[in-house]
Amino acid sequence: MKGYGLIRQAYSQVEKYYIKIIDDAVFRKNNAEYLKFIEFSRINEYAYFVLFWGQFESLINDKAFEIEGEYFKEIGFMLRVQLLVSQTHEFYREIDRYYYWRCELAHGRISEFPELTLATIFDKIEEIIETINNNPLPIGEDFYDFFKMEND
Amino acid sequence: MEQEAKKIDRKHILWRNSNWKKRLNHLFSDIENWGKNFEKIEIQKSNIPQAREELMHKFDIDPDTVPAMAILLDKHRTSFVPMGLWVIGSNGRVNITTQNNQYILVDLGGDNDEPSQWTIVNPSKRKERISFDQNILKKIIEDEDIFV
Repeated sequence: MKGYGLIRQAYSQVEKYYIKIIDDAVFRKNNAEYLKFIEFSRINEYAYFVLFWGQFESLINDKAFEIEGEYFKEIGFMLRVQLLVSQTHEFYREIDRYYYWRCELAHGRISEFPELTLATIFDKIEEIIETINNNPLPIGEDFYDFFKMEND
Repeated sequence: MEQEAKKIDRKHILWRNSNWKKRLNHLFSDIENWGKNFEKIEIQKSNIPQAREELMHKFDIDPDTVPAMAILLDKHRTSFVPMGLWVIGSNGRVNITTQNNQYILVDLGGDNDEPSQWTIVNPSKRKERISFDQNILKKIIEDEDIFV
């Protein structure tokens, strides 16, 4: 996960810079500066989230291509995810949520968006990536099959 | 964000904001008590303007002030500055700054008045999380890098 690690490190360096500037503004009682840099920090988080998500989307596309060939281009992103993660699995709901945020941010709704705790969000996405990479079957498929048998 | 959309109204937003200040005051009270173990320590408390929170703005609730804190020990200054309550992925964030280090302290407790779980997260490395307690505070005040 080299690309993911680099993005995390790059984000961390810039965020530390903002934390220092924000503290300095508070210390000098410069409220305008403090509030301005909180906004900058927030925008920085959005940018790195979208960048990190791009890496994840690329992985999903590669995996979908392995399964469906060129046909994968015909289906939407969450359908590609369904090739890899059962809809009944918690990861599917997590990915759906992150995808919603990514679309909100990528389509310009930044002014209505709250701050992100990127450290915990990055951790969760990396956990999902690791599980996808280590599972030949869609994640949660056993449960899905069992559910179908119960309902047949 | 979607969870919030199911239950939010003005009363709830006011409650969340009041709960945020209560949790911050509790955190700073713990830090103050832990700090009593140091000699020559000076605690500086202040109130700073609350950053814009979209949900408060949506319900015409003006930004308030939030508590902030700084600890002075010899030549070391450690500050605790709240960043925001509505933070996706945690239940509020506080920045910690020393002369040489900067940390992100988040409350990983639930948002329904569950006990706080103040945790320092490392954005650059996966799953490096440290529970915030008296021992960690000591290292931070002495400006050690806690992630080394």
